[in-house]
Order: sequence, then C-alpha cells, then structure tokens
Amino acid sequence: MDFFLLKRSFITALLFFFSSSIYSSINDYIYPKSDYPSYSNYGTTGLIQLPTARMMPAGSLALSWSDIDPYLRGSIIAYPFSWLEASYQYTDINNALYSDVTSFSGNQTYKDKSFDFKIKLINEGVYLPDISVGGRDLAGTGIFSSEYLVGTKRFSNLDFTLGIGWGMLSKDKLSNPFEVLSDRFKSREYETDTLGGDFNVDSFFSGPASLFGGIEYFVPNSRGMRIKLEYDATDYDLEGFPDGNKSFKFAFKPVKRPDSRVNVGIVYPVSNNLHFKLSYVKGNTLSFGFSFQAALGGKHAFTKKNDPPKQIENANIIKKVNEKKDEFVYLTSLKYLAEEKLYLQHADISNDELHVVYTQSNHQSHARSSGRALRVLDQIAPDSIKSLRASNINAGMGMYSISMPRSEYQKNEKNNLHVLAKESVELASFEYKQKDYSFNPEVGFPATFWRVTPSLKSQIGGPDGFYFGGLGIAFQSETLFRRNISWLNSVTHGIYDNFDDLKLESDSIIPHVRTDIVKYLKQSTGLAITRSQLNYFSKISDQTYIKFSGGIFEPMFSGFGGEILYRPFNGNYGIGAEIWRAYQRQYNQLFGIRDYRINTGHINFYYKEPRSEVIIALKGGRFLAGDSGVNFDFSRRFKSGLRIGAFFSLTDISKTEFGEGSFDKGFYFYVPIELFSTKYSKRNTGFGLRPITRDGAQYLIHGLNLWGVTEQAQSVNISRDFDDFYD
Amino acid sequence: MIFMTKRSIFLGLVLPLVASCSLNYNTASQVIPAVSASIFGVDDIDVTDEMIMNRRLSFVKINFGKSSVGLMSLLSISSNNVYEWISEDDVRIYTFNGKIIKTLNLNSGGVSIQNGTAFLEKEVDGIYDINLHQPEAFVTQDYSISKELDESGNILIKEFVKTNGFKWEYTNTYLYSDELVPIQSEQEIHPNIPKVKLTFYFKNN
Repeated sequence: MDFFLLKRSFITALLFFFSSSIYSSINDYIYPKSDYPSYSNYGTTGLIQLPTARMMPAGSLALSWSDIDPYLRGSIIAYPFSWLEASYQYTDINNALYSDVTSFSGNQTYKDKSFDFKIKLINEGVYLPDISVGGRDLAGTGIFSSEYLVGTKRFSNLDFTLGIGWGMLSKDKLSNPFEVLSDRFKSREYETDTLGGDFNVDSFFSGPASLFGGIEYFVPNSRGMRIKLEYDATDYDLEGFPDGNKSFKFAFKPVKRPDSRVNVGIVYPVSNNLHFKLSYVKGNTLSFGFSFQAALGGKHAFTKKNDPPKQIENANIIKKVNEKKDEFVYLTSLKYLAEEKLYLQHADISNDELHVVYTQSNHQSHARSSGRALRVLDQIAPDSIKSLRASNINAGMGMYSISMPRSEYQKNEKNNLHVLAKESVELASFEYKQKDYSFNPEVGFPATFWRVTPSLKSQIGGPDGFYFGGLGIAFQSETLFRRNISWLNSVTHGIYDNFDDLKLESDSIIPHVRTDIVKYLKQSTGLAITRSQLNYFSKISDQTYIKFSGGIFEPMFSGFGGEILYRPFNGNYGIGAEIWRAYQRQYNQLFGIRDYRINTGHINFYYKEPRSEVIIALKGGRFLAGDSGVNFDFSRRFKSGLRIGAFFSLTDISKTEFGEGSFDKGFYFYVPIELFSTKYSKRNTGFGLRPITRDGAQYLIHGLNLWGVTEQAQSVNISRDFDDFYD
Repeated sequence: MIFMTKRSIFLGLVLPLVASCSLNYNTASQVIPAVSASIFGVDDIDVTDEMIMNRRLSFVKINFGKSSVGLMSLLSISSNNVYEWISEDDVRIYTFNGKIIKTLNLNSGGVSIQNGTAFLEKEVDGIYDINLHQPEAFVTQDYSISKELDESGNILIKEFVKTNGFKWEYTNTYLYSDELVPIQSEQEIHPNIPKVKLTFYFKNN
C-alpha cells in the first residue's frame, strides 16, 4: 500500500477513535440510550457472563432476567450508594429437581437463592479505570460463589474490561496472588452449610484464580445497540450441578460443557431503562434476557413534575376585600389552601402576623407544603400583614412551625432563591393548643377517609411451587373521632388465588408466630380483616410523643399496648419504647384468637446521618416467639423519597432453633408513587423480601408507628428539602 | 387523616404475609393507567364543530405519536409570521408556515432551528442550522422540498431531511389550502420525541 495512503488511513482512524471528544454533544445522538451500563446473565452490571466495574447511579433500582440453559435467573438490584451494588436473585436450575418426593414438590426444578455485591474502589479518571471488587452467591448454597477484582475503562465507544476471578471464575487455575499473604488463600473449600444463610468469609478470594476480560462496543447510529465480546473465565466443571446426579442427588442431567471460551452478545436498549440482550455463550448455547433499570433517587426522577402551585385569580381584589375583616382572611385562607390540598385547622392574626395551622397529605416534601401554604397566604393577605406563619399538625400533635417576614418571602420567590429564603425562615417545633386561635373551622367528626384498592399476596420460591399468589380487593379506611383518635381498618376479599396447592407445613420448633403463613393464606381467601386498630396519640412534652393502640394490628396478631418516643426537634435521633400484649389470630383472619399470647416489647433507637440520609434503627427486646435480641435496620433515603434498606436480627435462639437461614435478614425499598406521575403524591409502594421467613426475631407490626407519624417533627427532615420551598 | 412515612404501613402489609420462603407485595395500582397509556397510547381528541365555535382563539391539535395529545392556543404572531402556540401546562411551540421551528418546555427534548423561517420562502434545497436540546447538540441538516397537489386541490409539501453528524433521516409532510394556509402537518422535531402531527384550526380574530 502506498505509504501516504496508509498514513492518511491511520490519521482517519485516529480521528474516528477520538471523535467522541471532538463532537461530544453529538455523541448523545450517535450513541443514544447509553446512559446506563448493561447487565450480565448473572444479574449484575457486566458483560455476558462476566462482571464489569460499572455501577448505576446511587438511588437506582433494577430488575434483570436471563435465560441461559440450564439456568433461568431473576435478580433485583439496588444501588444504595454510588459505590455499592447489591443484588438478590433466584436461579431456576433446570438440571435438578427440588426434591425426590413427587407428592411434595412435584416436578419443580431446583431453586437457588443468592446474594451478590460489588463495591467500587476507584472511579474512572483520565488514566485510571473504574475499579471494583465483588462477589457472587455470598450467602447462599455457594454453587455459583465467586469473587473478583475488575477494572473497566472507556475509550471512545469501546468499554474495555479486565479482571481476575476466584471460585467459579477460576477456569485457568492460576496460582492465587494472595497466597503471599496467607496460606488460607491456597485452596478453596466448596462445602455448604445445610442451614445456609451464613457468609463463608474464609473462602473469599481463596483457591486458584483466572484472568478474564472483554469489550463492550457501542455501535454508532444503531439506536444505542451494543455488541459484547468476552473471554470467559467461568469454570463450568464447578458451577451449579455440572455432572448431574454425581454432583447432587436430585440433579438428573449434566450441564453442557463449553466448546469455546469466547462469548459474544448484543444489547438492544429500547430506552435508557429497558435493555434486551441476546448472546451466544460457551460456543454452543444461546441466551436471552432483559433488564429494567432506573435512577430513582433524584429530584423529579423518572417523571418530570407538572404540578405547579396555583395562581389565585383576582388575588388583588381578594386582598382588598380582606382588608375589611379578619374573618374574610380566614375564610379565603380555608378555601385557597384547600385548593392546594392543604387543610386549614385554625388561623389567627396578631401583631401583623397571619398564622395558619394545617394538615396535608399531598407532599412528601414538608418544605414544599409549607412554601405553598405561605404562597397562598401571601396572595390573599392584606398588605397590613407583615409576617406569615404556617404550622403543621399530624394526629392532633404539633409538628413544626415555619415563619418568615412577608417581604423576604416575596423578594426570593420570583427567582426561586430558596437558599436566601431559608436564611430568613424561623423553623421551630410547634406546640399545638386548640384554644389559641381566632378561627377554628368546625370539623365534622367522626370523619372517614377510605379507598378501595387491589391487593396482591405472593409467595415465592417455596418447595411446593415457585409462585403462589392471590389477587383480591381491599377496602382501607381511617376514621377520625378526634384529631388524635383514629381507627384504621383494612378488609380484603380474595378474587382468585392458587393457594390450594400450598403444602409446606411449618417445621419450626419454636412458637409458630410467622411460619404458619400457609395456613393463614389458605384460610383467609374470602373475607379477611387485616387491620382494625384504634389509636390515641398525644404529645406529652415538647419533644415526647405517645401512642396507645388496641385491636387487630396485622393478619397474624391482635392485642393492645403503647409506644413512647422522644424525638428532639433539632436532633437527628429518637429514642423510644413500646410494649404490647399480643394475641395470635385465627387463620381465617376474622375476630377469633388462638391460644398463643405473649407480652412483647422493645427499646427503639433511631439515628439519621443528615448528609447521607442513612437511617440506623435498632429495636432491642423480646420478640413474638419469646426470643430476646436486637433487630438492626439500615436504610438510605433519597431526595425523591425513595428508600433502600436492609435488616438483620440476632436473638438468643440457636441456629438450629431458628432453622434454615440461621438468622433473620432481608431487604426492602419504598418507591414513591409520584415518581411515575406528573403530580405530587405522598403515597408509596413497597417491596420487601426475606430469603427465609422463620419465627425468630419477629416483632408485632402496628399501623402508624410514632417514628413515621412524627417524621416532620424534626428540623432535618424539613430543611433537607428546602430546595422545594418555592416549587 | 394521620400521615406518616410508610415504613410501618409497608411492614404492616408486607412482612406479616411473608411466606415460609419469601413474599413480595405490590400496591402500585396507580401505575396501571400510566403503563396502559404507554403501551396502548392515549385516546385522540375529537375536535368538534362545537369545540371550534366555543374557543375564542385559533388553536392547534398536537399529537406526539400515540403517546400524548393536546390542544394549544395561538398566543402571538410575530412580525415575521412566526406563530407562538401555548398549552395549558406552558409548553410552547413556534411554527412558520406550519413547520415547527422552536419548542419550549417539552419534557423529553427540544429544538430550535436558527434559520427555520427559510422554510418555503427561499430555494427548495438548503441547510438548516439546528440546536437540539436534551441532550444539547448543534447540527446541520440538508433538506429538499417537493410540491404536489392532492385530490382535493390542497397543496402537499414533502420535506426530505438528512442530518449531518449522526443518522437521522426523515420526511415531513405539510398540507396547505390553495391559499397556503397550513391545514395539517406531520414532522419529526427531535430524535427522542415521537413524530408530531399538527392540525390547525384558524379563527378570524
């Protein structure tokens, strides 16, 4: 080839390679839908079979599903921090049965539960790659267990990954570089604990290792399609039940061995959130899957809001009229606050200050609800009013009060200068006394709020079938007899279910406070009362709250008792106690009770780290089965209201008494409904999962616990959202 | 009502039902209408004679593919004949000879054609200079225009557009009365926004 032609080709190639830096903005259109990393067949961010060092942003949640013979794998992945990926998965292993007792588990194939994590150690820079360390199948049976250290670096539209793996990722059987640190890294034990659920820390990063690597190629102008190529380090002679019944007594056929260590795949993003994937693995196996991932932590995440504050028509005329009589101010406040879904309870004008006391159920952000209350007052109050105050009550208890000079409110409103507005705001605990006000609109007690909603009960992963579900309809209501006396009700009626096929009886050797779930599910398919709870609330001192409750608390227990909480307004913690007399309910979930009853109670401690919004909750005391110990709960709240959390409990029962799983643990998240709407809403939906539910470390669940009811009685929970003040 | 963070509600509803193996619980019934709309699309607005009579101002029906539909009122006409249309939620589009040359406050993208007022005014082939928003980019587009008459005697303009820099090619269509008043148009405005269909209802005011 002509030298100059060669040189020109080289320069062209070089320009193409670095084109991203030249036309970086156009790249968003050349490579659309590439905001998020893609997922491997193991349900975490990665290539095809291998992990990468990539992460979703903090506050993201993802679902991943893959089908690669003989495995079907479904994963839930959470990102509580930008440096932590945690996933939980079920793997349907199609070369083994759940058991050899056909009458018990039928033809159901083996289901494996596992927990994976990945921690990012170094963020990608100009020269350095993202570097992460992670592990697969850490606390399960260990049949997919592996650990890895991996780096990923982007060059133009190529994402290169190189890593070293242990356990199942050790095909090359290289000597372990950690052997120089300790002899324990020389070999690896694959024995599993029959009770499962424990972290086998001693085996981490032990035994032989293998290098792995791959490339993710972002194809230009192809609607965001990506092509993946990898050199697989999975040791298929170890993973799962490779040799059929030689590996595991219920396995019935061996796993197909690889013809090639090179895997290739494509990812097609339908959107940033939904990716489909197809790959050819081991040189002989086609795999398919999809993932749905979303960053849900930020302000206005997922769906942009279109719910601005209302501008009052003819506000100037209203202002003029309101100059004539305070009564007019109160009545117009009542009307226009209600249009903002802020419900006036009392109002007062004194010393040029207009003060309203309100309740609200529309905004997760207390700063936004206060800001909107002040906006209404500013629009309708006569010019003689120089100061505005809005105080919030909940359950008849004073929560907080926010006040500011009207001139400051107006000065900062136009350009949304919430930082300056915050400086002139007086935020304080609110001591609520009903007789202090000039205007007290009559509330027609008893007042009932109700709704009808679908209900879904699901049981996943049991030996008698993977999924059992019941679809029904639920009637939920709350009746207020006074502001601080309420009656919560929830009644369900099943429409369709497949609970008849449930067979699993409890094998627990301690009182069956939760493991009789099958009986509850099977016998409550008609009308069932899931809650009928009467509550009385009171704020007994400036920062101390109490609650007494009685009735049906939850599907399995009724009873009576009380709770006390000390929650300093300017603190970031709470200390409380609760004590209950609990009666186990009949399985049909109507009014009958069974023989089992117990006194249960806890000391509760809550601490919120204000910057990260990490909440640590400790609940120590006597649990429902009579065991004593502590429940540890860690969660993080994001700006959007999303919460991701995990918990575990340690009590004085042995692993044997506890049964499978060894100790109680699980994870949960709450997703605000408003994430999927253009309108604000205070409602949430939740998802929680325990790998195994046993009877140890179970506590009574009562509606309207004080920590939740008094959320806005702490200044950090209002000031954190002050950027919403003028929204 | 008494309001609280939903932890206890979640625990109250979910954990008691947790089965011997595991359980999940989902009450997100509110999401269903949104999901349904995203899959099946939204119902179109049937603009009736009565609706036209009752509206004081000229308006345009705007369809974004099948995903959303709305009405926008004429807000202003500039000296160079750019029409500004506004929706109830403050989305604004600016049209010139029926072509969208600028948008404001759209959720998933935006556009501003710097020389959009050249449309149908000058030569039939040319180059647009375009600012795309969300994400931001400046691109040029080559366009060519063809003109024909439909069966009703209306003028049908087809605009073939090719983007320089990335793959985005499309054909826009514009239907005009014989007096060159826009009747309807279908046009691409942004790679992340479904094709936009405008149906114009002009009133003499």
